[in-house]
Amino acid sequence: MTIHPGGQPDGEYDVIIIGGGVIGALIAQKLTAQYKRVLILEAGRAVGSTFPSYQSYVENFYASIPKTPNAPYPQNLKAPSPLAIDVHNITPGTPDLSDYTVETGPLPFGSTYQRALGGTTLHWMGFCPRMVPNDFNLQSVYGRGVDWPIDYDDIKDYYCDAEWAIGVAGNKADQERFGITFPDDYDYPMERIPLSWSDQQLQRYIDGEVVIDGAEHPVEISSLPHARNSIPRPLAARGGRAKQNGSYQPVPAVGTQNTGERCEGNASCIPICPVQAKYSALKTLNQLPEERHTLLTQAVATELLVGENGRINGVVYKQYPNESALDFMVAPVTVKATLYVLAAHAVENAKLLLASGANGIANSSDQVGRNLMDHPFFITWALAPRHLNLGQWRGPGATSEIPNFRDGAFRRERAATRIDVGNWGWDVATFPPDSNINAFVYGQHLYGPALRNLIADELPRQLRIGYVLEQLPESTNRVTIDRHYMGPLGTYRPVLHYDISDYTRAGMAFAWKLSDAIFDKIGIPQDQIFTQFDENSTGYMPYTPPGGTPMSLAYIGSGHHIGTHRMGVQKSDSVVNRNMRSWDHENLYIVGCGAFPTSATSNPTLTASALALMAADDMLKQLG
Amino acid sequence: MIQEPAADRAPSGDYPPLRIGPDPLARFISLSAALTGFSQAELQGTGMAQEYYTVMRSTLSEPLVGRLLLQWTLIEALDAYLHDEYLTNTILGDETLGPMARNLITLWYLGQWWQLPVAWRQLHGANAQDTTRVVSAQAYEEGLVWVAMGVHPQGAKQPGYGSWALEPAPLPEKAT
Repeated sequence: MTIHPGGQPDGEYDVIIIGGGVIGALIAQKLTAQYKRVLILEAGRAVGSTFPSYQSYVENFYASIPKTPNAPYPQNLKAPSPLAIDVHNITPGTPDLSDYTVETGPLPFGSTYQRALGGTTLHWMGFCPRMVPNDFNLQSVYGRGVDWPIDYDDIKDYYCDAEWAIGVAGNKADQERFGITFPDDYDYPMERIPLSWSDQQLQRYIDGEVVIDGAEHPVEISSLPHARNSIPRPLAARGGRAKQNGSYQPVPAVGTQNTGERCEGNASCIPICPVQAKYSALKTLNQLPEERHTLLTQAVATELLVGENGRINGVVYKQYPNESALDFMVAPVTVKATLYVLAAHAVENAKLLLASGANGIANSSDQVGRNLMDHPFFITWALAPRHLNLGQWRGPGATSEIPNFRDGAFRRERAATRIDVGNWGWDVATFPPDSNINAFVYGQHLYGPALRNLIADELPRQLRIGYVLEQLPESTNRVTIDRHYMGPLGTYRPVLHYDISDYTRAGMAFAWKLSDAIFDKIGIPQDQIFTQFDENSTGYMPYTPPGGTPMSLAYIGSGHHIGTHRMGVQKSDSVVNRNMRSWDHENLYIVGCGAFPTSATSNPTLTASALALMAADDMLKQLG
Repeated sequence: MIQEPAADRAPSGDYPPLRIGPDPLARFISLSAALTGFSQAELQGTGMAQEYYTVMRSTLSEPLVGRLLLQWTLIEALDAYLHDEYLTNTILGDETLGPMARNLITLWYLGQWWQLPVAWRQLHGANAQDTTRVVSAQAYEEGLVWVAMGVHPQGAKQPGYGSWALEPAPLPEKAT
């Protein structure tokens, strides 16, 4: 890839893309393939664009405590990222200023993203489930939230494109549920990632039914589609348009040919895949044709300029020479193109729109920044019986899901949930193995053989199940800016306002019952289940079910920032149209997970990628 | 002479300035074996003993390290059936040596040095090296916790495609 860390834009551009993550990279790939010239502005550093530089991230991972999502990627004081290392419960009226994002509550958002070349795909898990058809019509089917301006049928071909562009491993037969369909002659470019030994053991106990409050629910363990390299399929699996001989070629690590063509089971996908078998946007950026793109890194977009007829006629950016540079050394530069694409992340997109013009731009609907959502992640954990021999702590973070609760009539009453069955012990529940050493050595004063035997006995039996919960769009959950909370280079820090409604809390309460039923089915006794929350738990929130007794719930963020510039059918209540083009500025596209009107339960990157490819088609139409 | 637990004693200033005796690395490894439940051969096999000894020496003063190793040397001179009792009471139960010994366990199991407890630092002082950290990338990779669990360290010593779908290799018989 052509990187100009201290350089200049070079000539004329058809399109300027703000953000060097997966969304910007896929759009750049599609546009440059049609001979358009693209300038990409990336706020963060270019580390990762060569193999040795990526290895420095791996070394940082080894050296870090705790091994949080951002740990391998040093904080960049010129383009900070939220770290969510120590998520605080928020005291009303006292914003939490301890992170780059300002949290006003009432609940902490507690999710990270990454401002560096490659974006948050540097530390995503890589799960790529499609959304189910009813997810696009939540209002008309269940009377909740809003409908999307598109249906599953509108996006399904783009899902295929995105799965092949990213490189997704999966078996379509495992995914054909809740109305998800694939073309007959299509399959994912690579075979599904094998289910872990732990999954296989659990499958024997879990598959069947559970009874909750007298009602029977089917449950099964099923494979997840992953953006990580596995065994390639023949190119013919692409279906229809591309019948060629040969096989799909898994994309290796950037800057080398011999690494990363298969997942090697490093079991560290979050925060980093050491061999780059997991997709990151670095791979797509690396494939862009040299002569048709320029990539400027350490270039922070600070304002979009609006000209005649509401058209965007320039982007102001500030390119810092190094991460310690003083702000006043960095001069603003304006660049121009025919089209502008904001692909900087849901929160950063909203921030930049609000910071542009006198009082924000693209915001005649007053929806910019609003309807911020995540997938609150509810965690339950237990020690599995010895005879199951789970053999945890091996393979990708999860290789299976329990998909049965992603859709259903219950969504009139409570949130849907997509359930990850973990492979890394209690991971985000208690942060082992460090927490175990702390408890065993400093708490119980164990040492010698007793310590070694306890670790051998307990840690491979640690089972964590995570419930990814749906959130509805709410206008008061939002990103704002405030001149009292400024960041570097004259930019703003995002101010987050966040709460979780009873719809989601009810889903969480159901998830807890479901968890008890699943643990019971596995044969885990009550005293081996450790799920427990109180007001000191991170993400604590109380909930009283209708007619029930008060209970304590808690969640952590999934890192799925959704909904800050939603798409819709009319400009009065949405920021962009179905092609992610701004209603107010016809040459501005605002893309990424921020365009989602609702969150549903699917990890959002695949859908955002499909939407980006859809938007790129509209861009090509505009450019002619 | 075995030192009794030093609960009512003044801090190290009251001790004669101990020197670290001959062959300290060998005594460090033998103490580490008793603390971790891994054999000396297993510890040597990690290649980390010298680095960990250096971490301990650069973080703790010579009298403190000398006292720890001397105490272990005295225990080792006793009949083997007494080792556990004296290790428990005179090292792990000692307000000075206990936190040091527990930190050695963490060093071996996680490759991390954890800042000593506040009470310990009030007695013995603060050392600039006494910070919570992973002492090196290799230390992370050689953490005994992974060996005890029967798995590779997350992010290193990759076991290969599809290995996670196989039955885990049986762990050795219980350590004794």
